[in-house]
Amino acid sequence: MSDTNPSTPRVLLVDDDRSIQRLIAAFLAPLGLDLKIANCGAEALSMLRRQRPDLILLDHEMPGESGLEVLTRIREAPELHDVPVIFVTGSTSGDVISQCFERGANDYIQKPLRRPELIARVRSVLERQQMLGSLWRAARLDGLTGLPNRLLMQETLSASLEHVRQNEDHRFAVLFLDFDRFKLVNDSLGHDVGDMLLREISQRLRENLRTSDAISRDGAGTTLSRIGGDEFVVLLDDIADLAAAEAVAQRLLGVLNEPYQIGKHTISSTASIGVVCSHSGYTAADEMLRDADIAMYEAKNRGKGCFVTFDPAMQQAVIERHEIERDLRCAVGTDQIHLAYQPIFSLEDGTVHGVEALARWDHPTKGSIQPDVFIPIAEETQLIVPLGELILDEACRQLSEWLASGHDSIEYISVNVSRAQLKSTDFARQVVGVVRRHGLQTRQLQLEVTESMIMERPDAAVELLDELRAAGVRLAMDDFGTGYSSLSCLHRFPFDVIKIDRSFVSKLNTERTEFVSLIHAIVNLAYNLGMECVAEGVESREQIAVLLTVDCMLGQGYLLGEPARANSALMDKWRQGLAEKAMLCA
Amino acid sequence: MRSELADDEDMRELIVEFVTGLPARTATMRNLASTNQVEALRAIAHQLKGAGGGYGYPLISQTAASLEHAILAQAPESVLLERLAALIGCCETAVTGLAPDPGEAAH
Repeated sequence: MSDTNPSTPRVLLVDDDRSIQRLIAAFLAPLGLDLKIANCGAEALSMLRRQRPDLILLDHEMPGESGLEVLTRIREAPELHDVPVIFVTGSTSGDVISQCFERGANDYIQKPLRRPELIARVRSVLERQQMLGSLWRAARLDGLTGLPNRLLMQETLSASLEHVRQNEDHRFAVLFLDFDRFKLVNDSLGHDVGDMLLREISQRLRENLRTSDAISRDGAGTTLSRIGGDEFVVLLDDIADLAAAEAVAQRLLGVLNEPYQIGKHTISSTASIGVVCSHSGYTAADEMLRDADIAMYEAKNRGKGCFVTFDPAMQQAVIERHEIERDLRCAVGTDQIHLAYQPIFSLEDGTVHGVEALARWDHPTKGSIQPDVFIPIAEETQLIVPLGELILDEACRQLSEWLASGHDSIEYISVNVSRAQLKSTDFARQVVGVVRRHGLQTRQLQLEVTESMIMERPDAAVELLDELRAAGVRLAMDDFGTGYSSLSCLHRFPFDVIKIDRSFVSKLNTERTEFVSLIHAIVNLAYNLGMECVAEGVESREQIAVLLTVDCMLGQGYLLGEPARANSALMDKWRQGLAEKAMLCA
Repeated sequence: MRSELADDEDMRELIVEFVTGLPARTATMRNLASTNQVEALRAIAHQLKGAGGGYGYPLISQTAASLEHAILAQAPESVLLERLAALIGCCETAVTGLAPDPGEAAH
């Protein structure tokens, strides 16, 4: 209907009398409207089909269809049913006025027209429309980025699915994007930086999808939305096939991987993308979003920074994960979850130097569930909080029992710390309380943390570790060598022990020279910083021999002692096993 | 008869256009009345009823409404002719009123 500024209200006047057309145009001129004129109902309906106005001024008495008949047809058209209509009539009949409202007019104005009244009524309806438009935008647009939000994406997705129902050759795809390190940015650099990053991400996506996507060069076929947090959804409408969607996903990965300059911070991260295509027979928007989300998580599981196309088998994995989460809620606090203990031996003389407590879950129907499966779920669901307390308490109780029964060579019990515990400002006090309750010294408890946990919030972690260390608790860096900054950050943290990751120790068999030198360097570094070294994952005599030659005096692994439930004979069993195997080289 | 809006700069041109079109309408009405095309006559009366007041001629709207009402009420021909004459008279005085004011002409 118009090439004018899109924010200019569009008004369609339907009247057969040129005198009235001229009059209304003159009266409304101060409002700066985009006014179009139809001389009869048929012409009006034809114009309405081409472009929807913000307001219709509809004359009552016209040749051909009357205003009331035209009004009825407007209200019956799905795309026009909510366009406001002001009925213009010379009739003073109450019947005509009632009928115009019954058929859906929003207001009426009587001829002869008076300028102030016409302007007031038109302005009132248009302002109401603008207010409704603002409410619509507030409900459907993301305030931070201006992109469509989840609600609008779901509506758009539903419309695309309806299009597929009507035309089975029509195809579209959904890309579900998640920024891999957003939480870390938000936690470490603050929400303001996080917000700026989100705006930058949305801008990159917007520009890329608009300017270089052959599928949607004019932007009409692509809907980009932010559906929450750092999750963005791209709907690629009318695509040829799945490969086209995957090509867009691959391109977006590259765009998002470029470093971001946010104020003085340079932020680097990857994104993970899940892809689904409409040809999989979807009928509901939620199902499609759910599967795209599942595929995105699978991309994260495969190492992040990649895209994965949804496969129904992935859904089964999600169902299993939900089952584990549900069952874990019931298991915490019952004997399904118990502790297994693994000795840390002196490789020199075979004495049990310390014992690591490890959580085990005997599921009633699924059997033994590994900690690397249920601990991450416990962390996500915050079940780790009660679970962590139970583990710490039981481990201290067990050490106390061993010491009371004469196993006084054990210097400490070692317990793994969760992310949630590391973030708790009260953690050091809790730990000391538990240790004291069981009559232990703080030096008899060792807490193990991993580098990745510390590096999420290094400053807060240093504060907590210093507090624990000051209280006398032993601290061990677990899985040393697997992070990217192990060596550079070691001096910043008050560790007593570093535990050399099994991935290094296992290579002592096959790639001996290189890894012997590496472990030797780690051991020297640890000693220079006043720390002990424990080799994890010791599985052969040969490894023990090499470890001793590089002065690594402590070891832990299946060969030395498997994790086992505590009982009165466990200590003897460990010592006996070691002696029988005669593995010590000293 | 001058338009009530005659002093409105924005309306002046429109009023001239409206009034200039009145003789054609009155001629049509006379013709329709003489050929007894009552419904077409009513339609014009209806238009003048709606437009007259808007251009600052409430008397045109009133006399047009009176004629339309008589036609809808199927009043006797004499009444219709009387009211038609009143409407045409109004329209003609509006045309006369459009002529330049003698005072202004002197200037």
